[in-house]
Amino acid sequence: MSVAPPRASGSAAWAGGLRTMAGTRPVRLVVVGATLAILLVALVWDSEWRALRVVVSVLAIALAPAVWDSQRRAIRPAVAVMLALILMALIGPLFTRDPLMLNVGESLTTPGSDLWFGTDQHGRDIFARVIHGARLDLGVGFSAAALAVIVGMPLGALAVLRGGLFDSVLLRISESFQAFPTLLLALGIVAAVGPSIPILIFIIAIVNVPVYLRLTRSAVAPIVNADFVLAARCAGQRQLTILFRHILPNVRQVVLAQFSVNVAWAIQILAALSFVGLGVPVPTPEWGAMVREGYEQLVYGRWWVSVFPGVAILGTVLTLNQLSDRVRHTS
Amino acid sequence: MSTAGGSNMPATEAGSVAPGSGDVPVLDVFDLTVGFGSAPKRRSIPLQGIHLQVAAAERMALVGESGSGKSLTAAAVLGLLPHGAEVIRGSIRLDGEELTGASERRLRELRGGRMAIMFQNPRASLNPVLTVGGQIAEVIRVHSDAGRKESWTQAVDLLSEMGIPDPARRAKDYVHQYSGGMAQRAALAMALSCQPDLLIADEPTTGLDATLQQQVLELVVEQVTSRDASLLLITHDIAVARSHCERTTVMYAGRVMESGPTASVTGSPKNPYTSALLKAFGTVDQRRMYAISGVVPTLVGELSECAFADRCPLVAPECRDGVPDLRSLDDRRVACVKA
Amino acid sequence: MNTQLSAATGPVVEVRDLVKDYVTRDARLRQHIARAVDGVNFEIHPGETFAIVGESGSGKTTVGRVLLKLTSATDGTVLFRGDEILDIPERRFRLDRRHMQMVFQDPLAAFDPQTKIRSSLREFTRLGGIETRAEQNDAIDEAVRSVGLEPEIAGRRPSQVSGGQLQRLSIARSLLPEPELLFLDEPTSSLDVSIRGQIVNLLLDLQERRHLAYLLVAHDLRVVYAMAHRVAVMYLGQFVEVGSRDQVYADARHPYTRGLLDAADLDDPPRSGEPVRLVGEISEEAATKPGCRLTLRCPYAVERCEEPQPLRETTSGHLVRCWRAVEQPVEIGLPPNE
Repeated sequence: MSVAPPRASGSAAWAGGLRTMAGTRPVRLVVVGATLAILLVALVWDSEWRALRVVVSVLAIALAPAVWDSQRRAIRPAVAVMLALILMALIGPLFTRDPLMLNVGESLTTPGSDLWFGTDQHGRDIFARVIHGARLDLGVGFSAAALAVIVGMPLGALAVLRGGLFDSVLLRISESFQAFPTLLLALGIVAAVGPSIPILIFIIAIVNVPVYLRLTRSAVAPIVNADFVLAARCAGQRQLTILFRHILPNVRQVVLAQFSVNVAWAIQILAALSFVGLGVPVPTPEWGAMVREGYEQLVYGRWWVSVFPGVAILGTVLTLNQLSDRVRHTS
Repeated sequence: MSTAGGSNMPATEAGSVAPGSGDVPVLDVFDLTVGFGSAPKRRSIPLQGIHLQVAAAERMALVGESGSGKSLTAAAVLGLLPHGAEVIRGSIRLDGEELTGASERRLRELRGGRMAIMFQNPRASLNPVLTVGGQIAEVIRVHSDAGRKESWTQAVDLLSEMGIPDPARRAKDYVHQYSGGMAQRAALAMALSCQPDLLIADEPTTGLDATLQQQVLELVVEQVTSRDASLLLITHDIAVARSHCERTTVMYAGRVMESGPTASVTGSPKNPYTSALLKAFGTVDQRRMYAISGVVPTLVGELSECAFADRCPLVAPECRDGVPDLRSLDDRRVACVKA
Repeated sequence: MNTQLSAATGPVVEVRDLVKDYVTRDARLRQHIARAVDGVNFEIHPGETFAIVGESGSGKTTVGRVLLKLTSATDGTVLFRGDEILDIPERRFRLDRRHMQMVFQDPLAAFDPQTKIRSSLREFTRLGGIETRAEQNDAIDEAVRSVGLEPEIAGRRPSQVSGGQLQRLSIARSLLPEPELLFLDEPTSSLDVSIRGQIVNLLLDLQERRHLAYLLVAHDLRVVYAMAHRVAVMYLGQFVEVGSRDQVYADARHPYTRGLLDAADLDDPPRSGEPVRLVGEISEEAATKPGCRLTLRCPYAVERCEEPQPLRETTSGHLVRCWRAVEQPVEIGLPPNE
């Protein structure tokens, strides 16, 4: 066993400063949690609350160094790109044209210095629509994956701790959920109750709960009887305290890796639903819907209408996959 | 092997003796120094000037604690240094043939041919998805021109020699069907399948219980002796060295502290570290154990003093003057200025 | 539970007819019962070390874990300070854990890799009833000093500390709630030879200072020799020999004990009787036999050994589960009974 020197803090001093500003561990967790919650709400439902959006952005920027500092070097590029995307989704819309503004006179303009990504057949600014679309796609992706983690992770851990019948029943239920093809399930529900963003989030989350349940279950199983968990029991800790203080923090790498993949996957589902016309209502800027609107133009050589939103989907999914990969390998 | 006077000769001279004269040690490690990381940013030097000779049909114990470099020495001999480690200077000769700088192809020929290894965890050296007999037979085929049937018969014979009951049936089993002791016997069969000149056993019994440890060690000694092979037994337990090997080399922090016939090294140690190790393995009737203060050093760089100086009960100012040379003294070699 | 008022008299812990079965199911859902502990009896007094030695698979660690209620027992009783504890539900027993603590084999596994050592230690100060943060820190600093380390080391993560130091911290941690009984589960076997002595001597000093009762589980017979007052030799769930340290080491009666001592190659004490060479290895199949479980490995096994073997007293306090050791000592290479 080696006596490693205390880890040299490689990052800038201000990161440390901000971290101390953010306070001790529980305080920091609350701050991060609250920020994330506001962020999600702002991303999905807010169309007008610009002031709130600015506040959230400032908070996100302030907290970024802490995230940056706590992660290992290998995942930094992916984290940086992801943060840039989120930031773009948050404050980008402040600086673009109105994505809904129709201008028939300017329809199908080629990309240029004025209109960077060109316009679609209704003369709407594609750049503005891609930027605005990020809010919806990232928002739905993150909310759905977060909801699935919040429900699935503790359930998976409890399945191991309780064991027996509880475990079996939970597994059977999760299997029956996984037996449905996700896209078909989503299609069916949307066709029945009509397209709505909260319902989309809910469906994607429900389908993903079993994924986290099983993942956490298999990651926790070897840990529950680890010596440090026994030691925590010797310290007279309650089962739930042991679960949240000692067991779950030791499986978060695995879950985080899955989380990134999941966000990407949720975005793909949303895009796919929108592509077949069952996603968001028509004028709303959404990447998948934009690709669909543009694909008829491809044959006429007007590639920009669907390629730019397509690249946005591709880039986001790649970044998230990259992040997932790196996280998995830093544990 | 001749007395220590001869072994102080540079390896080049020792190696120039005509083959077959009996003076060429099977294994001759001379001034072996291994570092991690490349020269300007060298992180550590885990092996510093290792001298080690194993004569034909001789059993040598390499004794040391974790971080002493005993396993790394074996890895260097086998040409299996971990990624990032390199031989800085020194030579390793097997039957007079230089191994440092030898091609990977040649090393591969030698490994499992003229030298073989037995690991601490036998399940690590046996493939779990092949039958035990099948993989021993495969090694035999690679290193000889035996056919499929012939090699299988040889494999079964080997397993039977290692004391595995019902070898014809057990050869068709997988390693997970073997108990710990049986798996180590199978690993020994695998190691000996090509009649190596040198068997390197790296802590072969550490994971086993005491009664089993004794059985396996006795088997290793018996098999090596009956084949006239040499044994390099790596162990942290000086008591194991005492009961199973003719010669003993004690390592600490990547250096050889003392080397010589086991009886004299363990009977009248001249290096305080050897005495300390022996005392740590002794029993005393006073509700007390012999303790060496301090911690085992790890990741040492280039030393400027005796590595054991901080923990040594006999430390004197001259111990800090420089790294003590490994000098000849009577029937052995000792690296201690006080010896 | 009683407080330390009664500490002066009586054993800290008494174990009576302890049985522990592990139930597993195979692919066809058939039950398989493996009896890890099969009717074990002992008690430990304040200031005393009771050691259980045996090979892996003998069930020795299970005894300790059941004793600390870290695993449930199948049958039997455990009296702590005269009170039965096996029946107490976990919920109510939680705070009583302060009276009995554990030191683990591998200190690196015994600390949560995600938290600093100090916060691991803090959890144990809470169990000891120390509530304010400043008092907790003082208690931690003092505990760390009492095991010969500087308090600063507690600010590190487990992976940044050497094995010997971490084992000291593990000991410091287990003593924070001021227990009366410490279960030492192979406390030195993951440590380097030159460090083992330090840990053993530290444990001996602490025992003397605090009058602690130790349950020591180990396979290193040197460590047991240095620490134990009484020794039990365990084989496949049963004690095969129990006695004072000197009775077991110098006058080993059971062939298994003699085989262990022979394999351990100890310098001293001198042993009476011929050395015994055991063949083969421990096999759980033998654990279901009604008679002696060593017959396949024992050079002295005869037909009568297949009958049930009770623990029988040879001399005062020296129990052996071998009829030949009691009735035919000379035939199995032992000096005659006096």
